[in-house]
Amino acid sequence: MEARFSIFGAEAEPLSLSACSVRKNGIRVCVIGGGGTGIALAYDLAQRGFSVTLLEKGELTSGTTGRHHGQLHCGARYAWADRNIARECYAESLVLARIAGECIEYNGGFFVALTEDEKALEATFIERCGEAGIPARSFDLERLASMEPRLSEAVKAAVAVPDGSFDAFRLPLMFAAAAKRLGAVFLPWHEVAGFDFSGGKLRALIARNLGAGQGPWQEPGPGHGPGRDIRIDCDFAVSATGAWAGQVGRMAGISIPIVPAPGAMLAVKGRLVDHVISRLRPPGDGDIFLPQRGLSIIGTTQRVVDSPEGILPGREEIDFLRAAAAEMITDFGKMQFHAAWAAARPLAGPAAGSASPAAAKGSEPESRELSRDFVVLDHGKNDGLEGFLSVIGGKATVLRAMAERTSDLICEKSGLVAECRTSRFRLPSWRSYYRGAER
Amino acid sequence: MKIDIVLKNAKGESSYSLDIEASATVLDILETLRKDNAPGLLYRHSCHHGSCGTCGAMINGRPRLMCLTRLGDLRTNSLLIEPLAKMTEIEGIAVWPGPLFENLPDTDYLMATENHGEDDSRRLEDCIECGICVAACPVVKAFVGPAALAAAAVEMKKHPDRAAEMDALVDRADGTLACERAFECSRLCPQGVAPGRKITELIKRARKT
Repeated sequence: MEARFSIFGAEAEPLSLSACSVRKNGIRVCVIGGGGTGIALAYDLAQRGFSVTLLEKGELTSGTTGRHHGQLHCGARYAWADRNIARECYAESLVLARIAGECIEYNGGFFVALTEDEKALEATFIERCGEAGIPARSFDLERLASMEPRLSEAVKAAVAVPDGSFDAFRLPLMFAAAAKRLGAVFLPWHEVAGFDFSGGKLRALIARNLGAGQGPWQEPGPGHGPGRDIRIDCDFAVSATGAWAGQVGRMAGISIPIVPAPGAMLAVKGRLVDHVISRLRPPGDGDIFLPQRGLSIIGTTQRVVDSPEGILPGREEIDFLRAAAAEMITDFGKMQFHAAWAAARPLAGPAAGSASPAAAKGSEPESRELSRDFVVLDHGKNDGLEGFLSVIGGKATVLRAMAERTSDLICEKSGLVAECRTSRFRLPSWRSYYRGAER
Repeated sequence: MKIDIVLKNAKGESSYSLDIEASATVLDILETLRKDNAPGLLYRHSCHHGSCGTCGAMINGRPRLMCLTRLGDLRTNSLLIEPLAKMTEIEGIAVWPGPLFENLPDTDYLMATENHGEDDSRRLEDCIECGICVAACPVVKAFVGPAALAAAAVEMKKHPDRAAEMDALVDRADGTLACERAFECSRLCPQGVAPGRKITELIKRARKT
């Protein structure tokens, strides 16, 4: 049992991973996709005793994860629509602050009202946050102006919430370092090339080495070499491929209604604020502004494209973001441009008849509701491909929770009882992922 | 603008021509090439805005972050892209940054921001561990490199109680002694960390004690 000292308002200090014992269960799981979800899943599974191999066609986090703006969501943004998602975000942001505090700027955030209409929403917003268990309170505007002097003078009301920001690359890498330490095998520069479903059950996955020879980036093994297809015998394969889920599904011969929906982000030089600034209104485009080292980032937008590869931001998106940031931040328009980029989020496609990843479950009769925010599709039940699963949706803040629920399902399907322990151990430094020996 | 691109590594080279806007970054170019011309091209990338530090490469002979290097700023129509020097080549432009991380000490990566008194806001350190300074350094003998020494210097200031531990790294034969003070590290650091100046401070500090 995890010790909780709630009467003191504190929880037990997380344990060192070196104190984590693992009892191997002999079940082999292949995780497809080295983004936040896949990496956190590799760690959770390895900790519960599974033999894990993770395939990623590029460097870890080179798909959508790394291009995240890095907001650690306390859930307030989602409190408008769904208190369960909001509650889960808050719980997970607290867990991440405990186990991965090293790469989180846990400075808090403000939702600011710039119009009378937005100001009128203040009480409702605080109430919704309260219903989700998120501490949110009205904040004195004079004090806010002294803390964040670059905020627009038009701010009419402000609500303080426990938001934060994190390093979108280093946070998942900490999970990767932990997974590696517990024996998970990482195969970056390998893509899935096929599946063996003989006898109606997953037997193996075929991984294609995209050119990486032997080296410290992968475990030595038979058949490894550039251009070679490797057969990886496994009992389960989980596609954690986000906007690429449709492509991977097609390879297995099934249709997964996911389309890539890129969102653009813009960074300017200069750290204009220390807190995450959001618009006090239901979530939309261009309403999140946050600091990242010496930069300020504004996000985001949404459109739909055919392929998740090589997505660049459009000029109109950049202009829109610039204008949206200028509404919140005085002098934003004068700041020097630093970078603009786009990340391909997964969106439930036309086949699902909806515009949100969460709604994908509605059209999948046998999908399992693990959270309102993300789903795990069991292709054994849905498509007769026993042993094959897809994790769809979710957000970076809840990566650990997505891994926990997916891992729970794999335990259940294997007839195993093994509890999740990922919230109890402090994650090792991301640096150790790139080191040969343990440190 | 029309550009000629040569991708070169220890195994060979390949050439491409592309018509792309001057505002495109070298990373945008590789993303476009991989999508349209070279689907098997390998290179490291993650954040696309100079925060993760993964996309360092030799661009026309100089180490730079591909995501922050714009065509228009290079003032040339021909691009030579090679894997980041001093790292372990994997394939294409991709490297394994083990040589950088093996030397980097484990340090506290968050610092308190200085501009606000009211709350104790924190931010991540400026160094993004991209290895540009290591690749830029002309020293050929054994050297832990500018990134490791800069990290040690920062850590000592933040946590004086760890000074002895950091000194053990700094005072090695391949520590500050190996630095030739070329300051290429400071010149090319995309984050203005000035590792060269930090190494100089370490040397001055050692002389005093």
